[in-house]
Amino acid sequence: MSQTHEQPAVATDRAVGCPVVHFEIAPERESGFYWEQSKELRDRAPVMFNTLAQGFWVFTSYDLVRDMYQRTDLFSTESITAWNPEPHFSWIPLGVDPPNHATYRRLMNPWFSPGAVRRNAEVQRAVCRRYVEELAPLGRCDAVAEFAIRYPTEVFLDLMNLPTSDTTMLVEVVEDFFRGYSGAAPELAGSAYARIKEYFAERVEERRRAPLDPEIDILTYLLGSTVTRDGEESRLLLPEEILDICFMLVVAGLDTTRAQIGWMLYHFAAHPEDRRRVLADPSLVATGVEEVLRYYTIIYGDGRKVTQDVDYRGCPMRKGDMVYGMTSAANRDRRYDDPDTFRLDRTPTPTLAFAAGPHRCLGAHLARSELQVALEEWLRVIPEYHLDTDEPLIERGAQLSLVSLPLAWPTGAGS
Amino acid sequence: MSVRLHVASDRCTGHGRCYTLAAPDWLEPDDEGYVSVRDAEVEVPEGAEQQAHDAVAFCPENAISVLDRTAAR
Repeated sequence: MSQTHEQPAVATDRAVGCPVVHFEIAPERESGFYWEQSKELRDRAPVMFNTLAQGFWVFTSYDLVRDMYQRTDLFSTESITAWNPEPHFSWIPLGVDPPNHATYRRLMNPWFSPGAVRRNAEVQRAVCRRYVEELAPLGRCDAVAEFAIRYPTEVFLDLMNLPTSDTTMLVEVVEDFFRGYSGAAPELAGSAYARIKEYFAERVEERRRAPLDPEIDILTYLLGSTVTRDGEESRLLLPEEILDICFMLVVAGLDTTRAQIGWMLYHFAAHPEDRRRVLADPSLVATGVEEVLRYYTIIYGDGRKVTQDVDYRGCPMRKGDMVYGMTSAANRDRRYDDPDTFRLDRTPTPTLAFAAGPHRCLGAHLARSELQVALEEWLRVIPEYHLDTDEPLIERGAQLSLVSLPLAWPTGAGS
Repeated sequence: MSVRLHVASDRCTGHGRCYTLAAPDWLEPDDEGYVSVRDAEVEVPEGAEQQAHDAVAFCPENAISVLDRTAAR
């Protein structure tokens, strides 16, 4: 965190009663940098003003970040990128504020409910097992590129009733989008957005010409689905809305799981004592995954747009201001006992890893299941492994993610 | 002995921590992933009082409350 105040480009005169800071969110850094920064910010104040980009309010406490998620009357998802109040991406349901949000969300919930995830569980395990068993004899791999990215992408395609042979294509385009989003290669974001939309436009058109069973084919289901907005008569989803839903599923579902699986495997490489405890007691998988979600919170923060002039917790906010709730700091709030320590068997007190309020992560149940399966299958096949580099690992900002994770493990006769 | 649990539907957003982590034996999801019993008082099974209190504590939305009639008397 830079404390230098070199003539901020934004007016900070309204940031009264709270510290004015300048800190980065997106660029690549040595791994651990961003969580260290969010700890410093958490310890500094619950509310701040960051002079990055156009400038925005920052919340670091659990209570304030949760309030931001729940108070959709004050904090809109019209933009969720604090440093970009006018995004040219649109996504559904996240980008729709209540009350209209519910009509879209209800359409999507059944596809990601615990029941739906359970029905998909065998696929998750089979796909995961195949990747791990293919990697095992090699003795080493980049666990991000060869496992963490590919496994959830293939599961997603199966869930969407799309060809799993599209895995490599989808992995590449999502990588491009997030390299663009985090600022590593900004020019890529727009073209990746267009390619994702184009891919789904083609698939939707195929379903329009040859519908499948809407009980198992989500695109056919969406083509026949209706919404009711603003109390108007119900109508079919517009073609553009279907694409906005598909785009949402892709960008919310794939880079997130990739990132979280990466940090989970990193943790159990860097902490062999925890790995051995899980191996000895598989009941620790569930609480361990919850703790991975809390301690390694990949959502560095979430942005919202202020809907009205309001004095909020002493801050004179104006309509159109951006706020940034630091989910990563909230999940290390002092409300947790010893928050900066990873505890495999921590009581699962709530976290904001999947946000809160009406936009609570649609894929939370799927993600939790995929993480548990990944840990079980990896450790079953590769119980002993370690980091395979002396160089510092690099993390991408914004949605915190290891760029690569070189791992190695013993192979050899008899194994 | 009448301990009851109540889930407010206007606060529940379907995190599922009550029916997966706190009380998997007697709470369950509906087809959308919300806990199936909302806006009604549910009898907590004998001996599961701690699970009911866990459900309250594990909920990120403060959607759950426990009503202990025995304590109120």
